Amino acid sequence: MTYNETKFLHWSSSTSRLNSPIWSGDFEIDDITTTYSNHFMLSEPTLATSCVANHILQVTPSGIYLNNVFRRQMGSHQRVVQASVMGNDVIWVVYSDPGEWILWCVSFLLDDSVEGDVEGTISYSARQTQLLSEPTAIRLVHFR
Amino acid sequence: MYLWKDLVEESADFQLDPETLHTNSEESLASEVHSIDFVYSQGQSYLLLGMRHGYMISCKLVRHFNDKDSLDFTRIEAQANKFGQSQVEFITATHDDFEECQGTYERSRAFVKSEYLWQISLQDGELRIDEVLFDDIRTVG
Repeated sequence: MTYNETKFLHWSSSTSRLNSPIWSGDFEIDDITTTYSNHFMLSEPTLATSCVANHILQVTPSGIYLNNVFRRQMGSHQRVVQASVMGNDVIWVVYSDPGEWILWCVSFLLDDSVEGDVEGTISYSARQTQLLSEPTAIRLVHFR
Repeated sequence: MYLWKDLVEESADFQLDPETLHTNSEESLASEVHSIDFVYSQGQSYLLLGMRHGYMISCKLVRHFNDKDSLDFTRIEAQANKFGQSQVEFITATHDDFEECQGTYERSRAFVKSEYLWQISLQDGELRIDEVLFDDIRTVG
């Protein structure tokens, strides 16, 4: 991403990273942005991204997008200012005029119990809480 | 600085000590948290705070499970390292980057940039900081 747009870059190396071999540092970078032009918000910077249940999750200032599965767009007086993602969980902070910060947390769950060729469905649970002031950084961490 | 154990029920917080940062009032922005990361291994946990003006604060934490099976944190010591003049940014993969070690999951490394690239690793309960070079790794502290 840049400050005002999103690009998809494919990094590849002829050296396998399995078993931790000494890496030459040689790699190729291909711009594959046009491949995803119909599915993602490319005209905005990406604040956070992850692979969730074989879908690409994208968080931008205008909303949270998970292909055609999940979409939550901000209102005209709102924007996402911070985001962090870890696995199937994502948190983000929404700024609303005239000065309110809301922390959202969404956990995605893939139901892969469906048999046959039908893809599993994705459900989610969401929570929110109001922050007392503007956060300068947020970070989602998992404990196992 | 807030540590959110649960979004709704409880939170923990602590104030950063200006003396830890070795700063004065003219450098007030140095006490502003710019990025956050976390490493833990073999029961030792460190919260890493990247600050605006080149400092990284590492807070050694004690964590234990309470009656609700959630985590409690106690900060027992904090240390400041200065990498440079620019803001300290952690380079974090967006996927789960846990390492499986003897049946448990650990996260013992983090990468940070502040003018140069550094590796933070947790070894034998202590943080080790190495500058990352393309042809070698030089220990700096």
